[in-house]
Amino acid sequence: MSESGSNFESLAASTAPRAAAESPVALSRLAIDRISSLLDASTPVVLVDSPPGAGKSTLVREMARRQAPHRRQVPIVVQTNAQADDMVASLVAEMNAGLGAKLRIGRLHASENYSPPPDLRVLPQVTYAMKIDDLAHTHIVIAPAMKWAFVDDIDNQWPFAIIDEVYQMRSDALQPIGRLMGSLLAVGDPGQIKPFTVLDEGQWRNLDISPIESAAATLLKTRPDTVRVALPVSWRLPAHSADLVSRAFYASSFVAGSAPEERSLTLPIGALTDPYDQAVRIAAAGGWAMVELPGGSAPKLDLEVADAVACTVLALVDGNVEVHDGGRTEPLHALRVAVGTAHTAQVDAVRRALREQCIALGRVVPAVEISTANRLQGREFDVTIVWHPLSGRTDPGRFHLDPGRMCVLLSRHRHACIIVGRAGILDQLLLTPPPAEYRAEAESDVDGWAAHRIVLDHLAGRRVGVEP
Amino acid sequence: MSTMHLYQGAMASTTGLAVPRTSRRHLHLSDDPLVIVGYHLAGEPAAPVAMMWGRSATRPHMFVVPEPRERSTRFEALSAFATELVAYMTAASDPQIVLANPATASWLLKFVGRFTRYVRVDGATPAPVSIREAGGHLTFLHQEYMTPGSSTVLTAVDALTQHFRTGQMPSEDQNLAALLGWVRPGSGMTGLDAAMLAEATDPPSGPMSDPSWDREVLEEASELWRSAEGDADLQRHARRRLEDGARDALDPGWNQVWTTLGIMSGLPEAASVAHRRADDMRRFRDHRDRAAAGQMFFRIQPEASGSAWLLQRHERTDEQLRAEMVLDDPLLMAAVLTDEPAISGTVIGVEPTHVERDTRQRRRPLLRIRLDLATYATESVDLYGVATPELVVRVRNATDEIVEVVIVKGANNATSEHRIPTVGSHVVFSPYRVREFRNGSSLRATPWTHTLPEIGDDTPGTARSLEVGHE
Repeated sequence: MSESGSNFESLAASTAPRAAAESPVALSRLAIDRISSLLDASTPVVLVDSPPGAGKSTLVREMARRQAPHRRQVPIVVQTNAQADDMVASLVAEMNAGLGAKLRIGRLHASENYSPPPDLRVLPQVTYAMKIDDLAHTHIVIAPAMKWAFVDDIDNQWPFAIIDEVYQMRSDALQPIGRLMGSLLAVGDPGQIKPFTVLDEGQWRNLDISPIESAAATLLKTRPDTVRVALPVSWRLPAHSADLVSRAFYASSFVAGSAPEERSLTLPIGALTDPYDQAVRIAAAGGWAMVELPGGSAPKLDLEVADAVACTVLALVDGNVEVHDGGRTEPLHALRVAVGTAHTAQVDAVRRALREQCIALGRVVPAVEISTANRLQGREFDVTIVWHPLSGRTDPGRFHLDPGRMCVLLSRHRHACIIVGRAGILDQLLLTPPPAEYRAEAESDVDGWAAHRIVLDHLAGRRVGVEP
Repeated sequence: MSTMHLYQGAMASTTGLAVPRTSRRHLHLSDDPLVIVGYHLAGEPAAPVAMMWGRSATRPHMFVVPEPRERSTRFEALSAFATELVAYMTAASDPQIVLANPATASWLLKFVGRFTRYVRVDGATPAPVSIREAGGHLTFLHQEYMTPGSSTVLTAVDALTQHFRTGQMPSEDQNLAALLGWVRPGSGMTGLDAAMLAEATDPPSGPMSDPSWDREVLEEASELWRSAEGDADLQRHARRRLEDGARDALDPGWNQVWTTLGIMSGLPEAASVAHRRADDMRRFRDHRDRAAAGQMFFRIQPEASGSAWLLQRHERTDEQLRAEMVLDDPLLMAAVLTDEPAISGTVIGVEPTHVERDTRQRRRPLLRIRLDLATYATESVDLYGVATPELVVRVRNATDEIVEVVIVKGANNATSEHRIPTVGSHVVFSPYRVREFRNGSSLRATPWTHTLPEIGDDTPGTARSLEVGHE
């Protein structure tokens, strides 16, 4: 449990006697009401730790709606233009469903080159502007941190603002926000990939307030009165995954919002000759499987792993898998499948391998999403296939041991996750001391080395060997 | 690590000779550099033992500290160096400090800079004013060393490893003698032979001395010095003994640094070096003005606003440096082509009036290119013409041999269509371009989110002001 919080409120823990009786919905509601009352009490900084799929963005929108009537205007700080557009789209959808229907939304953007997504261009509730002055009539203003940095802090001050993805936001990007805003609701997922710099990190790490630490880490240092609340329920991860991800990657534990029987994958009965089909079956039965190539060290671009990933994709999308999700049953669609890797070059290698296999089979390339962990952040799929970041490596460094990257890869799925890699990862890990530069960040007590070990132990009985 | 980098390493270890990583020199070389090599006391970076410096390979100056633990002896020896450093920093028209390796830069510029810039020049045991002044210059030089693309401080190891790839581990490259062995092995030897010979015979080029030298030379001279207290002749003798021993130990490193400068001067200078040097000189003149006005102040722990500002500035500079180097240097561009989304090939077809079949029906000339090697480029990435940076293209169809790209910018109307490459011409498109950065947010007051709570014993206000940056 996190040491950095005498102020850490874990709702799941503090309500432990009642938790057994409370439904996930009630637990979650309890946390949201607590956050709302902290904001009503003008708490200077409320930091919300949200596990994957815990309704972080929903919380941001709900709090913006709840605070808007008491404030002239509520700014929302996001990290990218895509996140800003998503936030606008979701707010509008909820308004159309009757939530905060009278609110006016402002979308502040940087340049003439920006154009909103086609479906958001003409909406009566939304005003787009490059200058904050043109949004004076709006109740909620959404913009990326980079854009807020160019808003004049002499003419503009807000007593309260909301930050989304505060663990992905770098500390230097929080400074302009501090100049503009008087108090903060900062929401984020502490298990995601930490911010970084392409420069030599040593010079920047060893400062009292490092500009490359996360904005959340800075707030915890500068504001000891920060109240930290953890959201207790993941609505995305199924029961067997929530337990593993929570244990391996999070200081504050959380539970799955769905009961085990609400989610399942089923396959037609058939003879098991192909090891990839076998891996799909193991994953369908227990949520996790590992496709294992013979051991050995390999370069970053291990083409045999790329091939094995492609074989896994085809076994999955051609396996007549049925998805049962909260009463609905549908065939597994390729669009609901993602492949995640650590490196961009690996993405390209998987695309190529998949294309070649499909050409050889005379079939169309399935439309699965193939991306790096960085790009998969914040997204959700039914089944994911993960190229293990430590596969074949003899030199796991800070980048590969980063618990955030692995956590992103292992927490994108609603049903199951299949990991592909070479045998012997655990042995390599045990033989490799954590790299000298490795050091846990102030805001999380999660050690990447230990997290990897927990995951590998969990996969031990779920491995299927394949030959290249 | 790029494919090209691995290939060059394998080639170096097979051929026994370092392989060029670049076809240009990406740093500026001064006609009048100040070269410095030196040792500090083992385990005590604040105690220099011996230093050799100068502006000519054949006439180095030198000091030794027979009793490095004694403050007055230390300052007496340092002051000669300090005086010359200050003179150089005040008068040089093309200032450039050249050191043996990054460890020396960290020691001399950071540690020595830190303890000399606040040294007391009054009181019971005052230090010479020149030492404090030199401390300010060293700290500025450390900032320059940390600035991407600056040539105001070079180290021989950085310069060589930036331009050559050896067949040994990167950590082994930190030994300047061994590294030079790979680059210039001497007749009849492989790089590996030369590197092993150098490791066995050459004394370290600093800042740590050889432990056996400490024992046999330094310790003996120190003892002689201490026992001769009050006897000026004998102390002079002890000092001379140490000078001879230090010269023997530092000479090889000194010569290696000058050899490195010679090797570097044999490479043609890259096109963007001159403009980066102009930036160096702008910062240098600002610093010189502050020094002249007695305003060389540095923060011990920079304020959060200052470090954020500096980080963002360095990140922009670094991005620009990378783009400039790749665009200046065909060999670096070749490394990009092997690993990054980029295109190199011969135009085999042009459709100048091609129209994209999207909603806007924009005119986007199409090029069909026979590839020199398969590309990783995908539809979503903007690629820029290497010879014609105005051209922006995106991939539409790609096989391993042929790629189709559309020109999305730079040749899409009557006034610019002359830029469309013709059939038969060779083209290279990469994700790199040199951009003018708009000024980021300027340095501002530190906000409440970045102000640490007071912890009582902190004494803010001491020596905190003016010059922005880290030590």
